[in-house]
Amino acid sequence: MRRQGRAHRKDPHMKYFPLLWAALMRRKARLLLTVMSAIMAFTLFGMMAGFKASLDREIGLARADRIFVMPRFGFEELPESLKQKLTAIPGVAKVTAQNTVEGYYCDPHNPAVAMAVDPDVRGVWPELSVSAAQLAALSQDQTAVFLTRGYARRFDKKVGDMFPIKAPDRQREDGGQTWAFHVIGIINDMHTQPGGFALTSLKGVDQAKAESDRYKGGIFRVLAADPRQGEALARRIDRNLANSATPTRSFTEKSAYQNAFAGSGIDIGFLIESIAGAGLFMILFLVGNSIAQSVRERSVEFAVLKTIGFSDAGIILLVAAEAMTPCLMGAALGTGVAAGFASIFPRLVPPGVGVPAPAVNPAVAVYALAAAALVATLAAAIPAGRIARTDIATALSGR
Amino acid sequence: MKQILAIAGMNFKGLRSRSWPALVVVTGMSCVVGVLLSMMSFTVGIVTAFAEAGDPGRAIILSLSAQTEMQSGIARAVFPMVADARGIAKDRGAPLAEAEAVVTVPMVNKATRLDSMMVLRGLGPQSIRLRPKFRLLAGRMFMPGKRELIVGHAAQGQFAGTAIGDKVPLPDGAWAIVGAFSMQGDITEGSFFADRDTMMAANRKSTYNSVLVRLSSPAGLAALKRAIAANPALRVDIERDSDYYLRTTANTSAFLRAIATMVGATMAIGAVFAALNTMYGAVASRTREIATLRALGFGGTPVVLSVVVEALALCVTGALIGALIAWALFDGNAKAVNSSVFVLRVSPGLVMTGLIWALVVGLLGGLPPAIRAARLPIATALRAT
Repeated sequence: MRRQGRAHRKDPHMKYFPLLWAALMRRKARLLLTVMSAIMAFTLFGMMAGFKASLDREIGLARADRIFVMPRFGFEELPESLKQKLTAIPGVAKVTAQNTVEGYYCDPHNPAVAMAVDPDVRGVWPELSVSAAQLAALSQDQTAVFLTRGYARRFDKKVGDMFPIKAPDRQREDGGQTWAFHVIGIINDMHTQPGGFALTSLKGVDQAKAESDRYKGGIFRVLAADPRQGEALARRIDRNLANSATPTRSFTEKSAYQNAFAGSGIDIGFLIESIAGAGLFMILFLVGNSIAQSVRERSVEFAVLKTIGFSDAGIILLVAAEAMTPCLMGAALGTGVAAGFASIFPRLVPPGVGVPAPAVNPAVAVYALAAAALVATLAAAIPAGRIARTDIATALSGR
Repeated sequence: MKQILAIAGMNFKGLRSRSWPALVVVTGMSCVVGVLLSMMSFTVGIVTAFAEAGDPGRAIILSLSAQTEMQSGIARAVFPMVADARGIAKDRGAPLAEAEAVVTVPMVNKATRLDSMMVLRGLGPQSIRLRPKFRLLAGRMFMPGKRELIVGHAAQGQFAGTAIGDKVPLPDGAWAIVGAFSMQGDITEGSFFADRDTMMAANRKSTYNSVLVRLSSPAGLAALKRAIAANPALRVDIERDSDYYLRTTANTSAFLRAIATMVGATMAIGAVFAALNTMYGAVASRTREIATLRALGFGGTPVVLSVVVEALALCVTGALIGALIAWALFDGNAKAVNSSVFVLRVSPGLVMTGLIWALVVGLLGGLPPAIRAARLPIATALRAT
């Protein structure tokens, strides 16, 4: 009664809040369970939308003017001399060679990789998280490596430590397979390389290899002079070298990402959206049912409200707000849980699996709140219709 | 028991009047199981295709500490030394052992029109004898010394330009596809087979990738391992063929399974809360009914069980619907991921997994309301409205 009284205060907006509060608190257990359900659904939604956002970001950042040139067949390394041939192809602005020492650290199940780059790498790949001075330091010392922060954490390494990589298919001139690198610095993580890496000098690796394996560039990164001509240039490179001793397979960074995400024959974007959609569908029924139940139980109450002058629209607004509350709470808290999960995600991914962490950013939160509002609106639609049709006399008689 | 059946029967008859709350649980559970099984169908498909490629009667020999056939390199001179070792089955004095080579060939994926890598395996004279599942489906076998390939049936479904008569560009020019083969759907059916020596020459490849041997007996592996260990100069590792295929897919399948479980578990927890909500509601709406039964002398256990059984039934129904949706959408779809071609499977075992999840959700969601129902003080409950 005290609450009913409050509804007659002057501020016309204020009268709805006590009513809403009373309606929500009517069945505390039901509200709590509905909110918990919604939190789980929106945790999933936030994670999925976060994955989608990070995939989209990767594809968006991937450049169409940067081309990878790889050996067309098998895993043979491309020769160093290809650099001149590539530079001479019309439309090529810059070329840099890159190789890898791929193997493991201590245990065959603990894969480790050192990326070997030329000092000119930043011309083609300026995002690489090293400075010119750091690159110069690498070329001074054949066995020096920089580790990304993530890599240093994973292998528990600091500056001055040894970081030996055993590479079964990278024979050294001294007959061994162990590349005894030492850590000279820690560099920033790169979200395009979620697994992390060690960075060493191409020349250092090449000179330590067995004589017959030397003078190799491995693969090449090429920068197109005209950003719009990336794909065409990739095809031109392959055509030019098709009949050479080293036929190539070239593709732009952009198409590589598209290939990795969509080209595996599984539309990952669609998969992610379907999962998030299934979660929402689940709580649509849940919220729809609890709101319908609540409205059914309170038909007398609504009839009273109508009698004392509340409009249909006002009551429908009240019911909609009652549906919104658990949905929006679930969306806000669920997105928070998803964001917490995203921050520990890199530590959950097994080493060597390059899955980017979900980007649970403000856009994802807005998206989740919008989805919550939509679910609540749909859930409130049916009971709202019933209220509008309710005949006061019938309802008051309790039938 | 009779009491349980009586109450359960009454509950189910009453379900019609509580159809919306019941639908919440059924829908929730079908979403959980539908999503879980759809994601798991990838894992099951990959693992099945790899597992079927392995044969416990064979062993595969790779270079020391190589993780996969692709990373392995075995010098030509090493092969005869390996083939002479004890533990390998013999046929008229000749060991059933063969050195093989693999390379990858860029082929266009039919679904995406993008380049995808397909495996080309070079077979030696004994290779077919080592693979009893091999059947030539159409065309003819490749001829040694000629630029000829045969293509796996599964690969034909995924890659363009793989019909008999098509040409495949390799480093020394175009090779003709002259036949198509079946490996009963295992992972090797997603590849090309060709003559090993011709293929290696074309790719300027100087080392084999692996040696495949038929073991003389199941215990032959131990004998072979001892014989190989006696000659450290060989620098090779031996593994039972079936173990090799399971190991190479273990990381991927464990990761996919973890993702599916995580997504499924998040949804399942949501479904538990939904079931709790519904079942608490069901108990509340039947307060007087339950009290009457108790007053008539029905025990607490039948009341608890009847509520739990109702929750379980709703969850299992939902799980079956979800499994049906996953099966209809994904079972039998062929996919090519990297160089592996496999068919998605919603297997009976997977459906069982879905049902077990449903039972767990039903139990967690049904038990607390059931206990509340049994504990209702009869006198007060009878007066409930």
